[in-house]
Amino acid sequence: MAAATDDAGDSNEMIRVVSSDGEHFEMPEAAANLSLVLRHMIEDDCADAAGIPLAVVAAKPLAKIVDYCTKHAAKSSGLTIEEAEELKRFDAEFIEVDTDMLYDLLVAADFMGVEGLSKLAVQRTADLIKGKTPEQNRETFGIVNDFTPEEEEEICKENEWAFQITKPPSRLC
Amino acid sequence: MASQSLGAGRPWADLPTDIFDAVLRRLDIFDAVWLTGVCTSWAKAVANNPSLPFDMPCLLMTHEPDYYDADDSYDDCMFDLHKRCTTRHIDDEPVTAFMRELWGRWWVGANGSWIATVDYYCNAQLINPYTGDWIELPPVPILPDVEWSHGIRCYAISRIVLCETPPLGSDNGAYLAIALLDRPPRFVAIARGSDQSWTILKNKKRKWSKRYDDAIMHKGKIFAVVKSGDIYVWDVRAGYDERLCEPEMLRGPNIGRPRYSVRQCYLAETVDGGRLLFACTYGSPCPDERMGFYVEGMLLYELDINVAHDGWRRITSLGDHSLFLGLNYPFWASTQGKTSICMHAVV
Repeated sequence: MAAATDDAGDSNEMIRVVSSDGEHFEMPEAAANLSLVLRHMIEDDCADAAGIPLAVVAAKPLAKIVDYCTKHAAKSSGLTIEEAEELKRFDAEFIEVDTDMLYDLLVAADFMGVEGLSKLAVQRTADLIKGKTPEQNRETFGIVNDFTPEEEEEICKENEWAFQITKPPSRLC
Repeated sequence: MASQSLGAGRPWADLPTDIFDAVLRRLDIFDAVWLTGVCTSWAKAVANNPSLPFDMPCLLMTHEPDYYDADDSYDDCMFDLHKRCTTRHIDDEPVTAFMRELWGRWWVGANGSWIATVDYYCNAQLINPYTGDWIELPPVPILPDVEWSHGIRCYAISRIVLCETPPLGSDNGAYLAIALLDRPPRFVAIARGSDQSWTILKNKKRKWSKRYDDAIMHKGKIFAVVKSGDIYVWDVRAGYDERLCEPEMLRGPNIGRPRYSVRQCYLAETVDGGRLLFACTYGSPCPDERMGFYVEGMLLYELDINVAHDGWRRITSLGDHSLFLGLNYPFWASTQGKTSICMHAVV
């Protein structure tokens, strides 16, 4: 019980962070603790009124990350089934973003060490890739086909077995 | 960075490696292979993924018969192979894949993406399950003193050592294969791409009824080892001419009196290809002979064949490499950064 009181006391303190483009954000300490990098900075007493600068995270993804951490920190322990479901719904809606934002979240969550968000963004990326042809994936992610015609032919030939079969029939699994 | 991506979009092509690998772990093997077709950097990222032990995908084959539904219309699965494709999805069972090309055939060797198979009548083929290419190997020559069985001249190729595989995308079928025949007469034969027939490597020093355990190509010569550990060497660098080409004999390492009643000898090369490797597994008999034997230990030696009077040296550590021996052409895998392979293991 004592520990819980302490935690509650700590999380009342607000942590300031600054995006690469100079915007300031605030979140409870419990939320900031979900980021490995922020937690280390707080533990090292680097969190001051000027805010922790995050040199590679722009304002738009940082706003999302603050949002994510605040939500998850508030519901971190002793979840009821309904609350867990609500958090799941929040995640599902949260990650419904375009590929530009998804990329920024992937890189920022990785940089800041927000494990839950990293997993969420990686899973979303994998879901976008699944079942798509190379051409469809290029379109989804805005990637230019930089193979020479010879290289492309070779790849097609080498991987013909997989390009022809989408999935093995389920009875064989 | 931006050169590979469109306009203002994010540089997905250059996604950091650790993030790309995390995404890859959530995909099955088919999606992963499809990713290699997206762009050069993703192709490289898939190829370099450390969670894939070798060139992916791995095809693991067993001698178990296929299992299939009773109402399945496929007949004669009895001698077929049970093929398992590994997937990198950690939580999943491996995907079992059946290959139509291999029904009714045994696999007797492999190298890289090529599998060597034979059917009941000893017709040998090379099959590439990834590209679907196949090459018919030449027929085994009929010898006058071949044993007859059930009215047919019966051979049994127990092993095809695929020393050189056909280059990808070429139709000329350039390969070099050594066949070991495992029913008297037992002999070693070689075939190269476009040969009309296997060439039998004659050996007057040895009875036709004696078995060869393994063979390999090393520095342009064919080495075949027999149970006693002795090795016969045919120099085929200038082509094969049977009048000139009785083998030299190379004494195997002195492994002392065999402590165990059964053993199997293998040949391989060191990682750099510079020295010949001799491996011997020993153990005790298994009640069912077809299952091989219970292996209880292994001895490993190396020799530089170009150094006169160089003796066999015992090897006790393979460093950070693993050596794979068996029906597959022997190959080395580096164990650095690959937790799925034990250090200095011979498998």
